[in-house]
Amino acid sequence: MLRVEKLTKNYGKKQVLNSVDLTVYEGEVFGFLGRNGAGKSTFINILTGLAQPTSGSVTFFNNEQLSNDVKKRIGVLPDYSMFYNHLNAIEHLRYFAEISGKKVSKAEAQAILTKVGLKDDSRTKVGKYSFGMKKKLGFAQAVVHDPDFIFLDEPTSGVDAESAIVLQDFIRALQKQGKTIFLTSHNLSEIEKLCSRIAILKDGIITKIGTIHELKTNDTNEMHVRIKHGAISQNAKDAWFDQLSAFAPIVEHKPQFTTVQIHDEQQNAEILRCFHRFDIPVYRFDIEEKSLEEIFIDNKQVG
Amino acid sequence: MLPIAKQEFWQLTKNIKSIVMVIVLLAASYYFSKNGRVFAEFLGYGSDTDAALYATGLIIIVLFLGPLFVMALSHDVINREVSNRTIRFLLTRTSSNRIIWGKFIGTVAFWVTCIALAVIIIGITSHTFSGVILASVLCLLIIEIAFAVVLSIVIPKPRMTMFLGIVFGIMLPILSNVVEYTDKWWGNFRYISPMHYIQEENWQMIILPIAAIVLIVAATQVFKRGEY
Repeated sequence: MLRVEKLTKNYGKKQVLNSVDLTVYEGEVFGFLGRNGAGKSTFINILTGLAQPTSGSVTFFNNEQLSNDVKKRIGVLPDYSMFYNHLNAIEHLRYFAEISGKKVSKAEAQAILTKVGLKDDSRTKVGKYSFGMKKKLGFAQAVVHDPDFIFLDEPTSGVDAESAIVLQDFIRALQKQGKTIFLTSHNLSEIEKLCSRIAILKDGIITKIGTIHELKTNDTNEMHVRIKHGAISQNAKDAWFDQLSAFAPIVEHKPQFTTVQIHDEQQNAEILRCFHRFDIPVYRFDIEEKSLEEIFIDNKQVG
Repeated sequence: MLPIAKQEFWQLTKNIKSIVMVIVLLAASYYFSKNGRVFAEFLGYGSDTDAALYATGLIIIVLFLGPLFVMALSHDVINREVSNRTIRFLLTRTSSNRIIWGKFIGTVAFWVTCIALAVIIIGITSHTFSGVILASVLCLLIIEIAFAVVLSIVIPKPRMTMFLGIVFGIMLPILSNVVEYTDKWWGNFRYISPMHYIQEENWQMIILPIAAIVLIVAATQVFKRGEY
């Protein structure tokens, strides 16, 4: 659905994007992460026609040109949304939809505004809107023309927790309708909840890409297994310790808790056998994957 | 393009500045058309005088205040969208061409409506109509609007275009008259004055809308290079 090849963007001598390759598949919610200044907004601006690349290509729906027909199939919530203060929300939605070649009735506009939580403010001039309300309107305008591909740049930033849940539910509903969503957010738990795949951009380069599970496990292929077990006799302790640490390095050991590091879930059986061999009862066995936050922080620290 | 043109048109009609300007334009048109016979006799013309005399108010306003009015209303036709960042909603939906042409057509439609109203008032009160005057006035306004669009693309700050637009709006009629009627070498500058091409009331006026199209096409190319 979206294919980006060797996308590079230079501002003078500064390289903001360095030969970025990326593919987003139909129907997925794709998360795009990166710290401030990593090049996320520049990347989205190029994809949506707000900036020109220095080199590289962007293909939407098998079209290399971002023509008007392609634009009609794309919805964009920019990172910073400003509106026409003299228009109300319904007027905005009808105007934007018309530019995209779709006539939207007042009732249809009202229905979308209801979904984003602006039901009671749909006829208020946008000049009186708070930041969060503008964000919701920005969300509504991104979907008003029923696009197939939706860019959402920080959709819930500046929005209260209750409204953020409403918007997240809306994103899920859009995905169920078969829409493809490209989502950026600094809220990593939101990314984790919503996205099927993610990419992490660092200094203009995509350093990691894959499903969240792949990123968590493939990062260093490292998982921690935390085991709650019974007491270990003093005689057997050294032998048990040597056997276990031979195939799963022990990260932490307390009287009835041991944490080991594994690289493959198949090691779990061997760990359990090791406990069984020494007649040590196992009460709990938890595999602790890295959180997205940890992966993101690791990525920031690399280099 | 059409939705953008419509939006620009309605935004101009609701603007308090444009309402004041339209009132001035219509009041002058009405006053001069009503008293055209008096002016004709005062100037020694016969009672079957040219329709142009009745349209004096309209002509004076368009010639001397037209550039100022156009600039005051449309100096920021594009750069206000850029500085407010609403341009992002437009550019992610349609092409630069359609945005610029939509804005241009919407502004032209507003002025055509105003001039049409003035001509109707003149027609009702004086029972005269001059197609040549109507065409001259519209050609002049079209090139001024095109210039306003160019200015608002080339200069990103609305405050700067407001200042330059007002200076341009005041200076254009003065300088145009100076270069038009001088025998000095700088009289050659009359060929870059839009007013020069409506002096003869002939086919030359068509140069103005053609120049407007060239300006808009060039401005669109400049706009496409920008980052928003």
